[in-house]
Amino acid sequence: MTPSQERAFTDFVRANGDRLLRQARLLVPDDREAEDLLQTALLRLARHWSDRVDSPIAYVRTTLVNLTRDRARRRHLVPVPAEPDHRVVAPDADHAEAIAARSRLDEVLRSLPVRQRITVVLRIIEGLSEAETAEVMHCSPGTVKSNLARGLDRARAAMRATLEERTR
Amino acid sequence: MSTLTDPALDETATRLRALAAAAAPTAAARPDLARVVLDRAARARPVPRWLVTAGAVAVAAAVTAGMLAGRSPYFTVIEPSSAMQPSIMVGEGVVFDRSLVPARGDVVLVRLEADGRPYDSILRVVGLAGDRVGCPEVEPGRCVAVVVNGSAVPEPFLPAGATAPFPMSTVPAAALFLLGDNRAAAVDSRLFGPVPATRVAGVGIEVVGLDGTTRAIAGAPERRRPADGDNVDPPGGVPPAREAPGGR
Repeated sequence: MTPSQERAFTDFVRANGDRLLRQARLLVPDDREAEDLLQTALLRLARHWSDRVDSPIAYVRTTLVNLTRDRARRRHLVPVPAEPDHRVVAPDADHAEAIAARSRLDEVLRSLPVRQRITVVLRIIEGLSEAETAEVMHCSPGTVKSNLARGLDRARAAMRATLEERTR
Repeated sequence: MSTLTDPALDETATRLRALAAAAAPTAAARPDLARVVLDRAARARPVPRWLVTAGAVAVAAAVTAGMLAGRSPYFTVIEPSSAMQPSIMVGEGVVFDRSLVPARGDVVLVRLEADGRPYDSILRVVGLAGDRVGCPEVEPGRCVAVVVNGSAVPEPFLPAGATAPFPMSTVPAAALFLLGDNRAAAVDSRLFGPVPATRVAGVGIEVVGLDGTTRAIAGAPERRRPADGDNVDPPGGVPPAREAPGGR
């Protein structure tokens, strides 16, 4: 990579780092792993940076999705993070609220199988279209549709369960 | 944006979006993320192919140059004939130094030719250029010793009277008079005359016996041997303590 390419890459990461890390964080329920995932994806992007990637954001997103699926394949080797106790978090400060929201989101998303989870994240939270999601996931739009429906169904059940647990 | 028809799922989607928005601040990329990734990429970057090729060429050139320029002066030849018995037996190795100039008594490797076909021979230098060499006949068929320039050459490594008489001759310039130690059988300068000094490929410095031990060549002048520079204890016992030369 030439110095000018390195500068361009640095600018890209500085501008989009947070956004990309949030995407990774939605795909994996763990801070460290999300960062690992993002670094791996950016590493692959850096390797192809001189090939003038059309859309670096889309490249990183696709890589993140692929890495998530890889990770799901060897999930039995990945340490499962400890169950967060959201009742401990005091909801008084802004940051605490964010943490609580994160732990709830993790809990909901963790109840989904990996493909439903990816579909939900891409379609609902990232706001990708059905066709775009299908392309990222290498599947047909119909599969996206069914995954999304099942995923949301499960997510709703999970939300209701956590709500009940909280109100109990 | 959402195209969901089921209002319940739509509501779930909205709540998920709200949760994600609320949770967003917990995920912040480290400020030096680009640097970290670039460093990792630099470490993982494979060596360029042209560099590998250049390195291989450089190594090959260095090895070739080393072989051509800085080759060792030593080489070993296995004695194939009985021409040098009893000094060198068949099958023993002779270590030669190609940088030395032969002197009287040296064993040399010479490149000879017979019937137009080249062959190597290991023989002893008896006379140098300008020497008068011969074995005068004292009684019929017997000669006491080889005579060089009027004086008999001591050859303690040979049985007495081993040499058959041969006439005196003068060695021409830039030539050597060579004899095999096995005087009865050797094909040497008695047969084909003095040999041009340019045909000498090396001067023998030691013999590698059949048991692998090395020894000096009997009757040859003392030469520096390859192992002389090795940092090993000299043979024999530990010498007695001496006072330091400076004295104190």
